[in-house]
Amino acid sequence: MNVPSQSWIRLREKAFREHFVDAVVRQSIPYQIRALMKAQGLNQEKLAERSGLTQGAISRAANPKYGKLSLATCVRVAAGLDVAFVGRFVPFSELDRWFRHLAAESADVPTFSQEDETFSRLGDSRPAVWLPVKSGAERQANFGAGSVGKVQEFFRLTSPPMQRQLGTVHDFTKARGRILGPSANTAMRAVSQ
Amino acid sequence: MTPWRFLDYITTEGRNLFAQWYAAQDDRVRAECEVTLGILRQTDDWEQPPIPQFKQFAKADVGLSEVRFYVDAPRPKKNPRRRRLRGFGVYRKADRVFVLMNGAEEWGRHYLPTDALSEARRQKARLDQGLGWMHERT
Repeated sequence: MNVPSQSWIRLREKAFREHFVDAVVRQSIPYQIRALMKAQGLNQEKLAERSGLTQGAISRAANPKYGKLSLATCVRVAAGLDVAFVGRFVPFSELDRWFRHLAAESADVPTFSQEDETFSRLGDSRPAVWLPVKSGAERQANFGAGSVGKVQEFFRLTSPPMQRQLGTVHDFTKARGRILGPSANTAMRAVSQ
Repeated sequence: MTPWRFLDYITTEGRNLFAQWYAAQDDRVRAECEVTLGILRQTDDWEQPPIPQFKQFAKADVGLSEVRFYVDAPRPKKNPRRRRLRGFGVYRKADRVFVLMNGAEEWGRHYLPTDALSEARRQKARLDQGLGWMHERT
């Protein structure tokens, strides 16, 4: 379970939280588009060309005032940025956590090419690594690495912000979002050795 | 990146005009306001490139700025009216702080309440004199 922020109290009103979701969707997608354009050094014309959209469509997609962005446009913009777009249903705690870390997570989305390069450098023999996740359950963390040491390598190769977040267990937990609990600390101690 | 902080200005009489305005708004406006402030908290540079959620006043009101957000009034269904909401305040870039002084809805070339901007000017003058205090918004 994610630890809720102080704004959680406001979400207890149903009408408020319905409008909150609406506002987060309308404002955070343009925010992410602008952040990714900046990170990839793209202007609106270039992204329009890569997405198969007009420059006007990109301008509207990157403007939180517009408010009528379609899923189809989001998918096209994602294609232009060479990242994935996933619309999915989540609990409010996850929305709250994600929104609070929007800036860090928006800047930390590698393109497919960047990820593919990482995987290629790791090689193909990638036995699974198990890390504890929510509520003490375990989930296969498919980082494409053969050992805990390789997990560290994966993150080191991912992106400079992720490298900085490797410093402590706490930061690692924050970076992955879902990896919680004392067992994660044990795993990360092994990583740092 | 250090996140930006939003502070409410409280007068020497203990009045918090922005909080009063906020409390009088419906859920739609309050939710939009929270999300806008949340986005701005995480936006490193508000000026370059320019962002639609922030504007600095010029001429007579230099030093005063506004946080901008919008909600679509649900009726009429066709052509819903876009409400333009403003949070007036003082932008302190060096401290990465925005001091909220009053809220209003922009209506044509006017504001509702009509004296919202002039009241914000008065509050800014008091703040410049070192009067009143500030309370962090969470």
